[in-house]
Amino acid sequence: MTHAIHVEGLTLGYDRKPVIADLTLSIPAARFTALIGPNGCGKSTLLKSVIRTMPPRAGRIDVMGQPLNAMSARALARQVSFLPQVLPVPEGITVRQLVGYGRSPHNNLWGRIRGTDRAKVDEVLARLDITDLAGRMVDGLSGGQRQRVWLAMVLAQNTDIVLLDEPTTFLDINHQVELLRLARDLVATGKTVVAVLHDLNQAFRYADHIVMLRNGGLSGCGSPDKMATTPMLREVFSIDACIHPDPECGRPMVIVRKP
Amino acid sequence: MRVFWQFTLALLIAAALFAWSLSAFSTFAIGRADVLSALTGAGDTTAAKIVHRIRLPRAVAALLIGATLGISGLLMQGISRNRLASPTMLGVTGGASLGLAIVSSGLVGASMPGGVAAVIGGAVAWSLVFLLGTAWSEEASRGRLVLAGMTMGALCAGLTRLVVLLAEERALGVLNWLAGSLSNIRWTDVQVMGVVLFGSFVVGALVAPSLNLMNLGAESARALGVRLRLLRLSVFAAGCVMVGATVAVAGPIGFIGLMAPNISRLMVGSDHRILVPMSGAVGAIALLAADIAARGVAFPAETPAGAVTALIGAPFFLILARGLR
Repeated sequence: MTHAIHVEGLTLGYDRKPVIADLTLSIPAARFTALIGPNGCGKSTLLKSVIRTMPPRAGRIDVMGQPLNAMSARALARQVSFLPQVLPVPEGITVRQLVGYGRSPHNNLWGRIRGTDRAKVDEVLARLDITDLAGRMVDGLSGGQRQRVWLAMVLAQNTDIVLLDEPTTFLDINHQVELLRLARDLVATGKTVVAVLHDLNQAFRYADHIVMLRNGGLSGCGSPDKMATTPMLREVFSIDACIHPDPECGRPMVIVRKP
Repeated sequence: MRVFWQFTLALLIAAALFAWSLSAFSTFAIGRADVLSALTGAGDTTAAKIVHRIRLPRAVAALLIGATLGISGLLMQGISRNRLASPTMLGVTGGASLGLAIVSSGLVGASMPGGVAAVIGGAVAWSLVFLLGTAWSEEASRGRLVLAGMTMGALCAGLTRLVVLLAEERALGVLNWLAGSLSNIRWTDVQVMGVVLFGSFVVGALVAPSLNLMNLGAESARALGVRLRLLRLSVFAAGCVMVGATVAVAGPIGFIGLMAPNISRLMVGSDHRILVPMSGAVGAIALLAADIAARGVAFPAETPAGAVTALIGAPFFLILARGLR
């Protein structure tokens, strides 16, 4: 199995107390990896370090076998796209413009949108079923619509690695499932998807690979079947839960026990 | 197409104001014929000479300085993602004025050219504002940056006054200049501003696509391939030179850098590739209009253009700040 992202001895943090300490971890290529763990365990910080908004204090990060430090900003942007957890509300631009910005690592330095870019934008809008929003202003959208529009921007970037920081947070159940299926579709076309998820059942059902973080360190990683165990959940989330195969497709399902 | 007509309209307004400013509010009667002969270079009447030596450089300088201030404000708003940012609000104008006041009052570094002192002063003040306002971290609130900038502006103004008091014999000249006036413009100033404005356009055109992506937040801009450090450094360097030059030529003129980009946004939207020239055009028109008004309000006495821009700009700032909340 090849690695899309490999981090070694990685330490990240703002000041004295590191958010991630001496982490070594590999993310398999062409798989859907779910990052799970309690709040504040460093999931988002880890993703941010891959797009270099969070400089490492120690250790190294490789993307597709190349050291991150050796890649130019544009070269990295053609390989890795990122959906932030907190989405700013850009004023005065339309949905089509925002999604078009996703093409900027591919077009010339003056940001000229070409025919192929326009076709990609149309394709992504159609894929996410938001073609009718194309002419609307981004600052007038609802939270869920905004999340999907930003996701469209990330997809328009058309990178081999897609990082999603809590992509389901503002979505209703219907759109959550749609997003998780979309992630599966991306993986089917050979892309690597890494998502921070809070819903354990969704993570175990849709992801190929689970990474559990706790207190800035790795608690374990592996297939959902291997990771979804009562002792693991007790260690990482301090919950007492039993695991049953879900009746629909037999993947592990977490049920919290009575106190 | 709409953008094309807006630029045409801006050009027409600028041309009309320009023509008017050559003859308007003069104690010495200037006729249309004098203006025409001065423009074609044939005139040797007193009126034609006044137009050529005083009126013409002053009008051209107003356009160039206004455009430079407009673009500098746009770039500052772009990288700080804050519509209230402007040369004055970030303390750059205050720092540049202080630098120039120190040198021109002869206290220290009297041999240093005024423009250089202004650029250095602006750079120091802006750096301090960024440190105090922690402006480059994503979590920093917008209010904190503005607060830090205003504090720095007030501090610089106080120190400038102190410098002026200490240098009694030259105080009058410095005080006059501190109000922000275009009354002492010469052709050499126009040349300097021409070069600076050309540079501003070049830098503006280069950073415009990156500023569009900054609108999506620093994280997304980074993920889309923007080199944040390079972008911030270029805007910082360019901004200091742009504001320093205008301060050296005409003194501190506030609010153009705040108003021009915001008015332009209302006109043409949020694409910085169009906003750069539009902010320049709106800034040019605003300062030329302010200069004409400055000559007209108390005619035949002259008021500084900086007072007029402040009079219009302060309420504008309040409306903007209320709207943004």
